Amino acid sequence: MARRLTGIAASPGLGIGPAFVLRPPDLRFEPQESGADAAEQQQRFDEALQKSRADLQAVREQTAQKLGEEHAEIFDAHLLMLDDPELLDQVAAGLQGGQSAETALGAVSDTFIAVFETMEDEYMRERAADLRDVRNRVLSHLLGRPLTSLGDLREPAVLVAHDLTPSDTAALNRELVKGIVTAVGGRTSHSAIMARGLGLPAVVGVGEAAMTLESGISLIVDGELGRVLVEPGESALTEAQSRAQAYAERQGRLLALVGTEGRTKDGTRIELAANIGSPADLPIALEYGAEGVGLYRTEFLYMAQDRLPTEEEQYLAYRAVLEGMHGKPVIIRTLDIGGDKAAPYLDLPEEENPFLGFRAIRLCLARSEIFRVQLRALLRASVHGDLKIMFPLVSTLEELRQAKALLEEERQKLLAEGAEVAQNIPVGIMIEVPAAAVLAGTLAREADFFSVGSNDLIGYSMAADRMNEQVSGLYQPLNPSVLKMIQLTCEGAAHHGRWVGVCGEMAGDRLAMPLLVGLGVTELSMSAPALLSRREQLLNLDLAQAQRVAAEALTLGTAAEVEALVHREFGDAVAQPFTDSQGGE
Amino acid sequence: MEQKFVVTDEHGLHARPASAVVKVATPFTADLKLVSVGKAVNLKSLMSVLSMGLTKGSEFTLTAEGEDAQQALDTVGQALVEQGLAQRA
Repeated sequence: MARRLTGIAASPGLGIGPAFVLRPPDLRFEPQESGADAAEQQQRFDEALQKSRADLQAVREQTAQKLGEEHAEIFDAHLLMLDDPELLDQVAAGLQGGQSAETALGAVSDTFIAVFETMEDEYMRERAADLRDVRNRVLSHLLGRPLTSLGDLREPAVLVAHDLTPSDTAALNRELVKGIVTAVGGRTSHSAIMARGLGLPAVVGVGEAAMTLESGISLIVDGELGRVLVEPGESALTEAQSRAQAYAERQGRLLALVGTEGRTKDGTRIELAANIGSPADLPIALEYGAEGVGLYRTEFLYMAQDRLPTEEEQYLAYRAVLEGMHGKPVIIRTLDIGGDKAAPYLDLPEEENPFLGFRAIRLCLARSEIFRVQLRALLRASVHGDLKIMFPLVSTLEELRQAKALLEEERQKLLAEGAEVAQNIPVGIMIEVPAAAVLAGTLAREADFFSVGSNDLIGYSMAADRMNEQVSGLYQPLNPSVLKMIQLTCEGAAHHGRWVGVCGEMAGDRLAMPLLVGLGVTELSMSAPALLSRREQLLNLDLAQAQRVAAEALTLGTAAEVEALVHREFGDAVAQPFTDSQGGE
Repeated sequence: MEQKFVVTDEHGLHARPASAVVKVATPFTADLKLVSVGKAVNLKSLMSVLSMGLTKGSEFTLTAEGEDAQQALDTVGQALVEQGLAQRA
């Protein structure tokens, strides 16, 4: 029976092949603290450095050819580490004290690695990985145990590793490597960035389960959905192969869409925006042609450390996103924390029903001293781009009024202090609670826009937690009741000339998208890799047909009937990608 | 001989541009040091420079001693500004 690993979709595409598991090299050695001949050890060390330098120069050249000069520059840093006077001096001192070359190098590099690892800045922490890469290379020459080289790969394979070092990635043969799976890493790790540069499907951060795979086991990597199928079986494999072919052709078509605007077949404008969690997510959003940021989740700022982020820290992050989008719209959602998303320093009480509890706007209004800091940071950042502010989990008109009043108070204070604040900052709310959807016509009088947070709206409408296996079957995005909630939202908004976006997972879903557009949604915000396929789907979507199908869907009785209707009406345009059909979602 | 700077790069003094600066510094015979919050490190050592963990807004001083000190200071200073890493303070 096929197994599935889930990770982070790091580079789109479908890769099929036997696993080639890259195990970390065995570079263990017996430490020798005294008694070694210093001159002899120095000579061994110098020779190992020489060989490492030659390796790195070759790797640098390969990388420059395959990926371009920009990617190759990281090896300049590696070469400099080899020549680092501080490192060389300290190693030489160790050798003078009678240490073996291995022991001295190990001790000195471990000290530097430890320094990098404790740094707050993620970028600096990643330098520890670079140094480890360099140290392992020198050690392998000292020990005469060659590093497992990807250059030795002779058969097509899916590469599986704990994490890929830059030199691994540079040595890989893109004709043979069909996909990449790593146990650790995020969307901005070296492996992820390089995989995208090479156009190889990649799923990163699948956890240590990756390293339990054996070389040779059959894998299918879906870099768009972030899934790896293990031992998929004969028929599934055949099917995947033909789909991979189609996928590659489709990819070529999709990339041609970067830089175009989202429009339906008849020319109706639908804005396609990206969901982000930090300024670091921007390059990828732009790479996939995001026309704006439809949801910037600010809670990561609050969860990243063991204290509240300062106004200045927030201002810098918001400003970075606004500037990074070069005048394109950016919707920043105010703090959505509490409930199941905890920050220990907030000292929130345990709740019996966290989803029905003290979270998001409720918490912000009650702890307004925290909220005001965020509002100030947002207002100050507003002059750096096209900012829109959005309040999460609003369920009553009073909440919207209170939040807006606090925003206005902080705006007046800033103006009195002589700070610059943008003239008109649209203020919207998320529609996540049935109460808000039902009252949309009233809320639209006082909110400038709505964004449907479909994950919560579905959860609250169906009273089903999708993480709870007992009831996750009730979490039905296409249930007519959910569609009616969205219809009410769109109708209420239209009544006052407001627009409606969707920023939950439904926005990026190929089955739901035509229905959302048909109901009157004009902005869809999703994870960046889904943007181009939705853009292509839109280009083939006729608005009148979408409206007719949406209207019919509202008259149906079950989610299954709605799904059948969508398939019948839109055919191939909504056909599911391969791994979707493996069930389980 | 010394010159004060403030880090202007969003990401601080990070690996790629820092390597470029170390490369510029290396050929000079002068003893070049980067000093910040009371700690001085060899400017020709990438790892020492990175291990200072200088973030945007950090202030640091470059010191140079030796034959080509003035020229070294000017060249490195220019590289820092051109790379968008730091500004003279």
